[in-house]
Amino acid sequence: MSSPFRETSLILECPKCETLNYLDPFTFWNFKGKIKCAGCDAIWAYELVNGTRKAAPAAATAPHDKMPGYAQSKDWKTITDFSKVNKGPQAREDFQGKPIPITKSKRGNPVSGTPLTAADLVGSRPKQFAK
Amino acid sequence: MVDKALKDMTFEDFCRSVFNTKDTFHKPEVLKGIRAISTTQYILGPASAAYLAELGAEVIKVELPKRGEPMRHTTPFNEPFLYPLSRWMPEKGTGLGFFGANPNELFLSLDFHKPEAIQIMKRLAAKSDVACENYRAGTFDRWGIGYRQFKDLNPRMVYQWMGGFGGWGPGRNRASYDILGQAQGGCFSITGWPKEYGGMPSKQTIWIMDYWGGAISAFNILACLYWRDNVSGEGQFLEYSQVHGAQRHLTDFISLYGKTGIVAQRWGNWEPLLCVHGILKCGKSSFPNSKNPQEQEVGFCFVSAYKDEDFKKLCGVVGNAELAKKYPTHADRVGSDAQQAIYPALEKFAADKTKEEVWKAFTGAGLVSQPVWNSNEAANQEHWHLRGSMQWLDDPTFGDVQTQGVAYRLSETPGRIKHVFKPVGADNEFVLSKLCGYGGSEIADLEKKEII
Amino acid sequence: MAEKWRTEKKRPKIKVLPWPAIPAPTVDEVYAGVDEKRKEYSLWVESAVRQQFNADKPESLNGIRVLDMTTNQIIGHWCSSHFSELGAEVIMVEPPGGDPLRKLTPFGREEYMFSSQDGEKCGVRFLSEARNKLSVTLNVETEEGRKLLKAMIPQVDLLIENADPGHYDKLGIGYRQLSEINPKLVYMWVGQRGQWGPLKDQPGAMDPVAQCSMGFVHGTGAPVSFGGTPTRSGWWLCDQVGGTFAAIGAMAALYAREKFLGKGQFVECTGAEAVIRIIDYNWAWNGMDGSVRPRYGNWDLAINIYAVNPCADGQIMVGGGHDRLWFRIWRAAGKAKPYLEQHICEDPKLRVVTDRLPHYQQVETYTTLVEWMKDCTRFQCETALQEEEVASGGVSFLDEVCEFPHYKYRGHVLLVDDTEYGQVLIGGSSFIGQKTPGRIKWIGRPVGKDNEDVYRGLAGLNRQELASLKKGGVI
Repeated sequence: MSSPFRETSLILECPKCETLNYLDPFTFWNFKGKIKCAGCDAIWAYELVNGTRKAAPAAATAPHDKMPGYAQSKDWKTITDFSKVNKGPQAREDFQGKPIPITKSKRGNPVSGTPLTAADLVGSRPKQFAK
Repeated sequence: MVDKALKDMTFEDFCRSVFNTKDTFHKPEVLKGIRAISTTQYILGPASAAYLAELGAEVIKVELPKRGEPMRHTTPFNEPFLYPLSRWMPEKGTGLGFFGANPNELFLSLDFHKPEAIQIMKRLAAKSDVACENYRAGTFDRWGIGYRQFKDLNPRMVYQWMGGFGGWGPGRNRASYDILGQAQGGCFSITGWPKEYGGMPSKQTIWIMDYWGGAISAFNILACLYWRDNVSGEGQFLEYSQVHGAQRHLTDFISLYGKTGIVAQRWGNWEPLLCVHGILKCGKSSFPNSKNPQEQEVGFCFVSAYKDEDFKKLCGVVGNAELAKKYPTHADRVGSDAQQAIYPALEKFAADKTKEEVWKAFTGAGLVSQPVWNSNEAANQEHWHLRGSMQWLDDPTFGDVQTQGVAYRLSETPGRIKHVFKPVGADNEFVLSKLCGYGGSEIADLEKKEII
Repeated sequence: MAEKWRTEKKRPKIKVLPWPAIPAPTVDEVYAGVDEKRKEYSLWVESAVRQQFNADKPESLNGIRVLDMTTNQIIGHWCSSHFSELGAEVIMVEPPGGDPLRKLTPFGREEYMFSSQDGEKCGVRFLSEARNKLSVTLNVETEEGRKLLKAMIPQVDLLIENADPGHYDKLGIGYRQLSEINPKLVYMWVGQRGQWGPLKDQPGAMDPVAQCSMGFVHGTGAPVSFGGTPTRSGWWLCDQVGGTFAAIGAMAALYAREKFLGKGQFVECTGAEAVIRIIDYNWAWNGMDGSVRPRYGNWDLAINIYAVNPCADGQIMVGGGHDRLWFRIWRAAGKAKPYLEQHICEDPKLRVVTDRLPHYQQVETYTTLVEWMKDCTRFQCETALQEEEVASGGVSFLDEVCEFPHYKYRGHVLLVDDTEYGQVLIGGSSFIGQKTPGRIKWIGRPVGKDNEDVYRGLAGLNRQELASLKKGGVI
């Protein structure tokens, strides 16, 4: 059975390697140009008008105009390498997307920004701040 | 009435002296003796009570036991958290989405589905002046803790209900969030670049319908307290609909539509009413070598030069005297064609400069100008910290945090931030014994039964 | 750049429909088929707060007198609107010739302005904040003008001004001087960044200065990687939010005065600091590790799903922060495209609420969602999602806003029949209450219309004195 993602517009399934390239609606709502697949680097000519594809992707030559906003395989293996997908906005020099343990504030004083255990608490306050 | 020393100072010194944040805690609080119950979630409801808490009211925030309020579990990019959430769940943090909406408050945890909790609410209501809630319309009425039940217990209570669409009308059952209010209210349709410039309807960076909605509700509460204490002795029921806030903000666009049928559109970083009064793109970044990608971006700078003399000066600074000759009066400049020609011409000047260089050039000529600062640059300004609108606080639970302060200055009875927030149920024992007459073993029993 | 028909020369003629183009629904239509118990509560609330009963009810701030001496910014007028809607007597004190804001109109188009009975034109921006207020003229740059002001001060409760920092103090009518005459006066200065401190206001500073100086503009709009730029708000947001906080500050001062203080005080509020107060978590985040809050377009950094995305005929907002709603949203999408629901619900990376927040997970989420929504109009999306009890709503334009049945029914948008300016459509008062609701009594007054009444009443001037002051440019 053919994959339904073969027909989807904003989720571009690469005809070669079946990687799902996510074309975010911000950048790609109206688009005409070449996209580089994040899975296998193949170049595809593609056109979207109001988020709907005009035709299936056509093989094309380098250089590409844009990379997808994100990509993953059909079984959810992610691709977030910056040479394969667009960089997203970041608040700091690195982007982690998970809780970052912080023990000192920007100006160097202790702040309770790391997970604690019950043993670290006095009542509901971290030991370091309780009298 | 001002004593001699203050009278002889320069105006600037006078202001620094009467608004000195170091004296804040020596001065009385406006709402001393007022108690408010805040059975609220997200931002709209909590913000309203928070503005009262800043002024010194004793605000009791009521949340579900253990997990607390949903906003505790939101944080930008999933990265920053403050710990602990509660003594029951110290390893789970409270996200920063919760920050700013609950300062100075006492935190009570209560499960409304248990009958004892309803009892506790009634005991609190009998002793409170204000109640804020933003549950679905009619929910508290059904549980027996709405205005109709409270007003018999306490006729002096001011009861503020807040919600998305209100408790009556065709849309009353619709759930609402801040940006839904912005969207349905028309705010998106006028913010952002027009389609021709590659733009689209944009959201405001902040949860403004929520926070501002809380502010205007707080004003209404204060006005009703004023009326109660000076005129009538009565409380009342107040309603606030968040989506209505959007109509209030856009009221002049609504008048425009009513008279002319014109539907206002986006106009980017420029201004339909005035020209020149817009934000210019500068070509260089101010911190090209910064590790933080945010800082590597090119700068932007605002300039305002709508008076004829100022516009001439501006054209002199950017080295384009032709422009001043072509658009000598404001009426010449303010039309949409003119604006579309003038701003690109001005941006040519800024195309090879940082925003600081552009700012200096404009202010040097006596023009009003302001670079677009990111949060780091804004937070590093001594100006806000000196005035108290931003402050570093040694929070008793979390340590050293940088927080927003009170928005306005009062010389005799300033508002103040005492703590940013506390874990879920941190003040259970205090509130229950002080206000509800429960003893130690009763409280332990309530905790065991998971009522608190 | 712009299409031809948008140039100044060839603008289309627009047929103005009478408002409302479609009448508001009736009570019976709204509550048709609702069960009695639910209906009972809604009807009780309606009976308590419906605007048609407003005129029967008292006013919270009756008896307070406010002098609004601000010009050129909307922050002071917005602030005094709060007081005027709740019954205070607000007198706008404008320079002779009127507040310069009166002359502002979008793109300079005079046909957008309202005319008073005498043909005096006024722009919508100013007129929308002139509600319930009187208008007098006064030139405080003259000695006689200041004398007149000082004569009235003993009867004023709140004075609002936004002159350049220290200007009124230099003229002898600042807080230090006026509080000698009337110790109970609450004196408020409003502006963009403040009247003291390293960044104190430059003369002429207006709303965008505040927006740019505290990170609002940087944080609004699409990120660079999406092709966006920092964007200012479409309206004078800092002024308006600042005006509300200024009103809270002034109200707090009045409350304290009556309760225990016995005297007035000096109040200051600025547009920038008001938005600093409410800009979510920027400062805490920055304080923890120097993070700079990025622009995120119409998506949200802290909550997924909570964004506005494009659809077939515009943009649609969909919101649902927690688990229960997450699955419901996909269920709605899955009715049309089951493979979308299946692929995203089985994704092991998106199990927990907080896992859905990182940028790439948001790209995955919204691309999948728009894959469904691109084929639906705003109305179709809304209907499908509301069936699952998910909050959603299209981005509305102002004509849709003005005709929205819910707003017409509740009076958020209402038509005021003004004696001076005729029929004016406006956003109604936000103060909905049971006993002392806010109300709009009139839209505004032409420049100096109330000179005679106010100056006679408050300063005892007679006709000759008024005439000579007028001749001398004092009023």
